[in-house]
Amino acid sequence: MEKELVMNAPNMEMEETNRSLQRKEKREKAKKAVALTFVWIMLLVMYLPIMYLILYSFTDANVIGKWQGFNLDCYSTLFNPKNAYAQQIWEAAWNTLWVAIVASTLSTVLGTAGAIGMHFLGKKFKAVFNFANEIPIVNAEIVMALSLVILFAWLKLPTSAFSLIIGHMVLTIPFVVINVQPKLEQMDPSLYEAAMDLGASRSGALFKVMIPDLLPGIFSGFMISMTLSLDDFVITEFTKPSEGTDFQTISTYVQGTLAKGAIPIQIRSFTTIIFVLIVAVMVGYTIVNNRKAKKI
Amino acid sequence: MNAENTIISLKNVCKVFDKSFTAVDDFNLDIKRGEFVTFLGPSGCGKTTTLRMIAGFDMPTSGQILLNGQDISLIPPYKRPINTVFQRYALFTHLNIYKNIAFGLQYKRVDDLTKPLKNKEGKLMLDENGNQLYEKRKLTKEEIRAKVKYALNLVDLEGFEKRAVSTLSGGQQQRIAIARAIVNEPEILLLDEPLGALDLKMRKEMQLELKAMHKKLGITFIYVTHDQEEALTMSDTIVVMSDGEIQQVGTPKEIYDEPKNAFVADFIGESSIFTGTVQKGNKIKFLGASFDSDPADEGKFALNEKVDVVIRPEDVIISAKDKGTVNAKIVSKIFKGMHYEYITMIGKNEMIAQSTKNFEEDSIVGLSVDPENIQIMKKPFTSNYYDGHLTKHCHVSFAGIHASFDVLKLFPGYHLSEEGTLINDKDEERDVEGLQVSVEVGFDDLELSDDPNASDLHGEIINMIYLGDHYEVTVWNQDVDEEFIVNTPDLWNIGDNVSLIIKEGGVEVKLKGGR
Amino acid sequence: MEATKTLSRNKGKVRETRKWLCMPYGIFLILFIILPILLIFYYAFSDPTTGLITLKNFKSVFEGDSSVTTFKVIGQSLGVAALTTVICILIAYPIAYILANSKWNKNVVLVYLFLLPMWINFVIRTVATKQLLIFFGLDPAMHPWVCSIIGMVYNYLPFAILPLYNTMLKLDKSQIEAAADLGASPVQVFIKTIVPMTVPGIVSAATMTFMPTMSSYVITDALSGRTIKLIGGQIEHQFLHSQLNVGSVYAIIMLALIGLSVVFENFFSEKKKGAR
Repeated sequence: MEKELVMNAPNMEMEETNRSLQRKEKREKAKKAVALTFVWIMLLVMYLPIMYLILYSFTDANVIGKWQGFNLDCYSTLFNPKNAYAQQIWEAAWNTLWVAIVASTLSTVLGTAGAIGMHFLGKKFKAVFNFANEIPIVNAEIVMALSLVILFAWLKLPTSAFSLIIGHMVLTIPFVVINVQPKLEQMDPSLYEAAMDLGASRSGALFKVMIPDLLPGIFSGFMISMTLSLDDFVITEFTKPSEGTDFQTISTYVQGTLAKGAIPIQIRSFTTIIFVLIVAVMVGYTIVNNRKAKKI
Repeated sequence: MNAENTIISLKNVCKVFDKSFTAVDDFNLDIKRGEFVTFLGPSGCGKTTTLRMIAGFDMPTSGQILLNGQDISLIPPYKRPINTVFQRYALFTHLNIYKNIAFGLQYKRVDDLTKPLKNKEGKLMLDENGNQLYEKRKLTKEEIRAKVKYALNLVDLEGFEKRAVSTLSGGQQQRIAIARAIVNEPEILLLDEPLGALDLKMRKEMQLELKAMHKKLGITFIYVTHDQEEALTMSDTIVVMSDGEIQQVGTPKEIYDEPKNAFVADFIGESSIFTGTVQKGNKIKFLGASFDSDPADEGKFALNEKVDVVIRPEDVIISAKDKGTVNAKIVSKIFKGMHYEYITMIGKNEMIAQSTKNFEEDSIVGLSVDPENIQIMKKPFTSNYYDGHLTKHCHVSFAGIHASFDVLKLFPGYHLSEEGTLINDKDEERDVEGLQVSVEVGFDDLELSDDPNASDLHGEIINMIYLGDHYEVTVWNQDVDEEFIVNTPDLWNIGDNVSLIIKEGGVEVKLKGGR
Repeated sequence: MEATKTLSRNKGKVRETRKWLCMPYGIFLILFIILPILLIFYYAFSDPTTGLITLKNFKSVFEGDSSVTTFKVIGQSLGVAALTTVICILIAYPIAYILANSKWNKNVVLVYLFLLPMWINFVIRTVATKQLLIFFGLDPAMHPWVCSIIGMVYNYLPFAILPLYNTMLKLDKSQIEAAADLGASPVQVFIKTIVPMTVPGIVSAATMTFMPTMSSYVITDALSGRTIKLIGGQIEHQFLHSQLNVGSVYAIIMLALIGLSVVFENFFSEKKKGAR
């Protein structure tokens, strides 16, 4: 009896350890489940308004909440060129897009050149530039918007497509600069010298070696500019053309119709289409990225 | 020197940064075609700046750089037939290996043999040597491909054309950097510490390969390094630099065997350096004993002149006690494989010796050196000299400081009034303010202190040489760009910030202009 | 040596031409960023018709009954911003912690999913939120504060998650393990090591939400039936009525509040640096 006990003691201890390990693993699994459930619930809440819009894009109820039965009226009217709402929406969409593209492109060019120039300035000038560049980032958008309106009023100029583009550039340039700057700091200064050493002129070295090296920063600067510009309401509202035809972007159009009452039902189908497009781009981007990562 | 053979010459080249820091000072050098020249020196000695001026990235503040007799000082780098291999390779990461190597070739222009140049009358145009001139054209794709292939072959990386830079090891990147430079067939290849980032084994391998490549290509190599061994292994000619100035130019053997001054001796190889005094009968006294000196040095130095004496460890002969010129105590012994290395003490002086014979630590031995192995060199100077002027209160102002000195020695027959002005017996005042003087402060008349409040004179230690029983330390004051050389028994570190204390009576002042 | 003593003298520097590239941006900064802000000050202190220097505009904002409204507006702006910031961080912190913890989540896709709604126009999202709230029985007209805060949190949550997530990715795991190894309970580990280490993330998440929420007005306008008035809304109101001078006064108030928040933020990040 006694002998057996002695023999079994280590075994029992081991079993005890194993059991506690299993318990611990179970606890870990439960923790993970709770954590992920929380995240997914939060995601669901985040997407609720968008899902709601998408769902109600398949009915023609004027007020959301009263399901009128499944139909594709939202879509058919959105693509009906004679529908007044559809015309307004597409015009606003087109305005939003071209303003974003023009402003972001100009911002990228000006901001990249600015960042490169700043990099080679003396300490003092560089500090002044960096400070000025921070202003629009820290400052409230509405203060920038009002200040631009005042500038144009002071110059006795009406707000126009020009002021709108300037407004969007003020909004976006600093982000181009701060995206290019770290790439400049990482860059080996002998790259530019190496290019000149091999026969490239100053501009050749700039365009064939420096700019390509900065490209990732320039690209992310452009993308952030597009995102900010497409989504912008305040600066657009203040600096959009005030004379001639009624100029609207998606933001100001929706805000305007909301102030007057209900928004047009076509906005629901429009948003659904945009959402599907964004998801498609994101999925495509992730797949391409994963493939690249696997190659390396 | 045969001008025909000189490919590049630097004449009185100076480079001053930010109006105050002199990186290169009056640099004169001729480099022969096909030579392997190494600029050797500690960091900050101006070697890289000189290289950058040859490449065209920096321009000299004054002076000329002549390539094949033509001044290229102001010509931008892209117009010079010179290519560079950079320290950190500087490969273009957005391009693959092929495009990296072909980068310079896209700008290259060659004679188009199908289009001879004609003048207005339709006559063929010739250059001054009577050779036909042709229109210039770009290289064709096939020519570029062939050249890239040849360059890759040369650096042993055949078939790497399509690889991305990021997939290459450090050694491979270095080879690509070399291929990218030599593919342009430059007249001179500049290499800025190209092996600095490689590990020891790789570095040794690349040294031999570079040497072989130099032989094969036959072009001039100018190589910058701080590694004396690398310089001795690879070069035809070594240019030793310190503080922006050339210390010595010579073959590796000359530099090692006949160092011109204590700096070179200290920097190249191991050595013991002492202060000696020249004696009658071609003898030299140091370490408290009289040594026979090299017959070749006879008559080169004045009697009783203070000189630097350099002894290489392998030239020290160790024998039994009282059998050598001096007796010494062995304080440490290290086995180095082929030989033992001993550190011996002769009184307060330290001498490093190498021997295959085994001696016990703490034993007393005799040391001697063959006369031809005693290197004697003039001391650059033994005092610091400055220009200064006198101030109102009979102080002297120099190198940014005011110091008191024995003013009455300078003006015999005068004495100081109560106000501190100079008057003679007839009560006539002498105004000395602004009088130009030369100031001498001996190396032994200065003391170093790490207490910043010890004096008004501060500086950074930029050089230090061990001279057997003391250190000769060079302190540089940035504000006035003056150097102070100090003898000190203590060990300091290069880069230390120190205060300089002038000992009582350490300032010697002489009036200028013989008055 | 027959050295020709003709020295070529020049400035000794290869002209750095690249620095001139910042000229166009410099001009842009002066014309469209610095000058307009200076004009705000000029307009705030000048008479709209005569252009003469006056305190009239400030009086109309800070005198008598209007001062009550003004301080109420400032208070409400700060209140909405502070509430939104605190709630955003309270929600974002665990989300970021879970997303950055490799034991629970190895995929960045989940992070992207939180950021994705930002690409849908925020006005449209706000409208949808409003209709959804009504559907759930929360009428903005009846519960302006609840609805506004929900809308704000919904909109600014991604801005709080991102900096927190980035900080937590860089957390020094060995420190956490060391704390656990020394016998700290999971709760102690969290409070004593994880929270202090994530302070920089909390500060930047707070800045990212507080600054824009303080000046925003579109979301509160839509979700409070215009009952909650913020400084941003006051500026818009003056703009719509072409009262640029009085608008400038509100803009200066806003600038002052922003200045204060920047000082606050610097104070906290400095403190963090000092603690290291």
